[in-house]
Amino acid sequence: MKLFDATLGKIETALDLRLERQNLLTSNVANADTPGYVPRDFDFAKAMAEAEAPLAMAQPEGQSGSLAHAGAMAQPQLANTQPGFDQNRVDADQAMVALAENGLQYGANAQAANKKLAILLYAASDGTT
Amino acid sequence: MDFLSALNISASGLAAERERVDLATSNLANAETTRGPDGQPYRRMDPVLQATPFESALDSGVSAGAQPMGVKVLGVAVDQTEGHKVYSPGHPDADANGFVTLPNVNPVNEVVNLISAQNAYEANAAAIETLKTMAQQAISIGK
Repeated sequence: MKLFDATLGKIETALDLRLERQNLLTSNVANADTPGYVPRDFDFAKAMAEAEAPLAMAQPEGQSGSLAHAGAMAQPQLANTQPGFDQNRVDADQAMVALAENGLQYGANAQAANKKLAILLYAASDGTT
Repeated sequence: MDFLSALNISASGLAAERERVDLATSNLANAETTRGPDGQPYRRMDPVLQATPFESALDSGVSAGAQPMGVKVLGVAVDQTEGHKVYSPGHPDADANGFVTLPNVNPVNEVVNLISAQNAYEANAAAIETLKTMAQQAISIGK
């Protein structure tokens, strides 16, 4: 078994995707009053699965595969939303809940990274810390 | 796309909502102004908001339709509807028949506008708060 196994890499991908999603959700909140704006979002689980899949295709230099995929996966959320009189489809409650939820998940992932590092530290220090 | 650019998106939202508040308060303050800079009764104003891609598509490597959007105040639209007329022959701005044209400002609309802008402002501020918490958690990984 390797010391630095896949766990930290997975957490890193998850954090990246959560931040990417946070950016989209933030822009939905910022455009809550823009006429004709349709909120965008992507399915985190799907994006994660896609990022985890071994990427056969070559990635552009200096660009991680997961982020490019997540951005491309962002879909306008037309279902479950009613357009306002200005054709804006942002539902303030939905947008804020998604924002808070995504932020919490990010925190959970960050904590998971902390735990993993703590385990490594414990092992590295002969169990004295 | 990093933490700071996401903060800038929220900042653009804050700026847009502030502009809405600015114009709504200006409309309210001038609800009875019968003489503007052009000598005509004051006309109410609204900001024109537009969603703008936050970074160029070249930078982010994704299509323009799929990236986060900031919001921009494109300009200020002047409401051209006619204000109502009131009979007041003694008024300095009364016309030949003694009618004064008042601004087309409806205070109820403006206050509703103010409240809605305030709520949206708070939502953007909350988004910044969430993002700050996230950044803090990222910084403290491994501590």
